[in-house]
Amino acid sequence: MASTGCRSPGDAAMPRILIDRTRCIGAGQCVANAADHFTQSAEDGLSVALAPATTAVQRVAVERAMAACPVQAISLIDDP
Amino acid sequence: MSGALLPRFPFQRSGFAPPAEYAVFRDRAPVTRVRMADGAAAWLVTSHDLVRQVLSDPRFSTNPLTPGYPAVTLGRVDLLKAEVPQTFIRLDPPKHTEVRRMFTREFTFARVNEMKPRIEAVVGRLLDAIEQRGAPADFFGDFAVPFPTTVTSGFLGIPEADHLFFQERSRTRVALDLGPDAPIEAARQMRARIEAILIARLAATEDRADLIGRMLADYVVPGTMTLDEAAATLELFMMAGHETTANMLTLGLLSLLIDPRGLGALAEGESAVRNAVEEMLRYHSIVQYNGLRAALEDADIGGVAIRKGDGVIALINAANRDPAMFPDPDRFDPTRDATGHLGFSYGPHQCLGQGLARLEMRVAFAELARRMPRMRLAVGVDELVFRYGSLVHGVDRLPIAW
Repeated sequence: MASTGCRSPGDAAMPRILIDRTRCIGAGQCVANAADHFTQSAEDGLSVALAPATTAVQRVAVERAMAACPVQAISLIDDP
Repeated sequence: MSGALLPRFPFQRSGFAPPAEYAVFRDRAPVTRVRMADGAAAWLVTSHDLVRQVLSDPRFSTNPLTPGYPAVTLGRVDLLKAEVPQTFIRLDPPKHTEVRRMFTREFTFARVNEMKPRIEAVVGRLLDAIEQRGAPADFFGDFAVPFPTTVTSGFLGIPEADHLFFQERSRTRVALDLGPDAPIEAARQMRARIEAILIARLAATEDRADLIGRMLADYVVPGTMTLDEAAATLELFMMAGHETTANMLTLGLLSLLIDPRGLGALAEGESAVRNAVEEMLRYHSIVQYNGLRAALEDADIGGVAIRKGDGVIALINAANRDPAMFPDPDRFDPTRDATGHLGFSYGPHQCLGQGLARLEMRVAFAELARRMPRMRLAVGVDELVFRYGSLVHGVDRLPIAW
């Protein structure tokens, strides 16, 4: 699975946002719902994860983005 | 599957309301058999969860050449089969994914937002002209048709002199009541004109200011795409940008105007406009028969055994009126949270241009509410002529005063 993720130092407890680029169709719903946490590559239009959600408000936005994704390409993973 | 004794699809609708049969089927059997124009049976799926499931499931093909693909009318199937080469909306993965991804960069959130000043300028010009001519105006013909045509054509690189030519032919192409020949001939003429535009542009492929320029330079010249494929893709973008947005704007405005609050419902600003636009997309779901699929394998949907080669209609405008998802679904409520509607479909074929369509609608309604807050219908609702014989629902004219 080709994926991109990003994690800020010091956010050990925050689940990392993972995008499955084999599923992503560039619908842009993640960016529309949570622009602080997702962007789209200018080259191919597919989504790229930015910083993980650290506050409750941010988590709601990320969850909305996940629910809006038409191909379920977004997941959250807790690193060990 | 033979369908001699089954209910005949499609059913008659009335005004805003989808056919009454949809709700009946959804209650009793959200996966039910109907008879299509060619006599074959197909499965009609009417609940939100199951429509979403079918649209996400790779066992269902969107290719009209797949055995079992449902025939809404005989002419429509002839038209789709005559589309050579096929565009990505009619292809299945992995080919679909490969071709669609060549164009996702054109429709990113950031790229669409860059178009906002141009979209605002087009809206401003058209409303200026309407105000100068004075009331009444035909919102459909004077605004809703030229607005997306101008925006899309500029973005693609279609010369202004060709706007009317494409408007007329795209209308004919989505007609379901003209028999098979007129839509096929309209499609042939569109394709010929597009090919001529592309060939003329091949002389100057360093011009990357519009989508045509970028497509020629990046795909056609290096040989990733044939000229035929480029023309077909461009035609798809033209079609997708014309009829849908024009009719969504028109029916959306109509539903606001027959509400007692009128455009006042949008007075609270940006979030009110956003909500109202999503509700318009949910409530009107103007593409009447999309979600057409054919089963590539046996599949269980909602406990019903669908066999390889069966036709399936994942009926988006039934899903968007599902009370399990949207309470009191037949009421137009511009303040409701319509999140989760399937107005742009779902799954890998979800609309590539949805960001642009949303932005066009938001800009248009915000400006209409600002400039003409007391707008009203200039005729009675019962005088409006709904276009029942079209793939894309709408009205022929929408007379307004302000």
